Amino acid sequence: MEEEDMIRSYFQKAGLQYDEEGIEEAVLQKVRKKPYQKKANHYTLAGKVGLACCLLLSLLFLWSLGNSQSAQNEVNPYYWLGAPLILMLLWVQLEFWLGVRGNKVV
Amino acid sequence: MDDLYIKRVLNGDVEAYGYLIRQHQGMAMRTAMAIVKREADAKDVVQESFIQAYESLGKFRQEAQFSSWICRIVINNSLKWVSKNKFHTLATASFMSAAPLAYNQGALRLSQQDLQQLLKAALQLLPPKEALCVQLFYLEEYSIAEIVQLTGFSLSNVKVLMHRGRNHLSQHLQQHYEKLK
Repeated sequence: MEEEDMIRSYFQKAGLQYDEEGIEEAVLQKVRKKPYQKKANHYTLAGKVGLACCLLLSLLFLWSLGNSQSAQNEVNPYYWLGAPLILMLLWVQLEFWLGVRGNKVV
Repeated sequence: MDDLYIKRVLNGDVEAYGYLIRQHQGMAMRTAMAIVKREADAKDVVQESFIQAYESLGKFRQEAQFSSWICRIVINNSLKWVSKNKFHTLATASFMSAAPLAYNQGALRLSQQDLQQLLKAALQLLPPKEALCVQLFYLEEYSIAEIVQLTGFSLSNVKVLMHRGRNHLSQHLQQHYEKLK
């Protein structure tokens, strides 16, 4: 163990340093030509949750529509089918115009 | 802190990569020097490694440390360089015997500059893999298990390299210290 401690002491005291000049600039010069681009995230998590809710509502309406049809109630199917789809479209538009969507593509 | 700068680089701030280079170029140079032995060549290897790391930065899993990741790249590139250039270290056949030499505490009384010179000269003479393991263990303070991960050598191989490297280093240090006195 004594030998190990001695070698460790040598290294710790000496603190090996070599010539590092120019490394940073040389590397940056090459990588500047290819910067990373921010990836666009078209919908935030809130947006995705909102869309999922709208889809679920649409399915519920369709199901209730099916039920009401089978019960022979007076229902306008196009109105009930259209409502959730319109909600979905409104949500997407709102998210876009209010800037709720994620980072823009650079 | 590295994670913050990595995120900035991935968001398009190329200059942020300069921070990562400055933080790790010292370790990268020491690692490359242990293997390639020549400063100019080590610099080329280190530059190439940092460029490679930049290009793969999108794939870097940030639960790992950037320092370990860049170290691994430098090691791989250095070993490839040695293999490609068929570089041979100076002969280590001058080892007299396997008996460990008595340590001279006087070496620690040398100035930092002299001690650095002493260590550099001794490391220069070690075979690349021995110098690498010794330097990673004693200077960069990686554990044996971490050295296995970084180098890709087997555990038994690392232990053998460490044992030999330590013995050879001791002998070289003694020889060079006698000249400095």
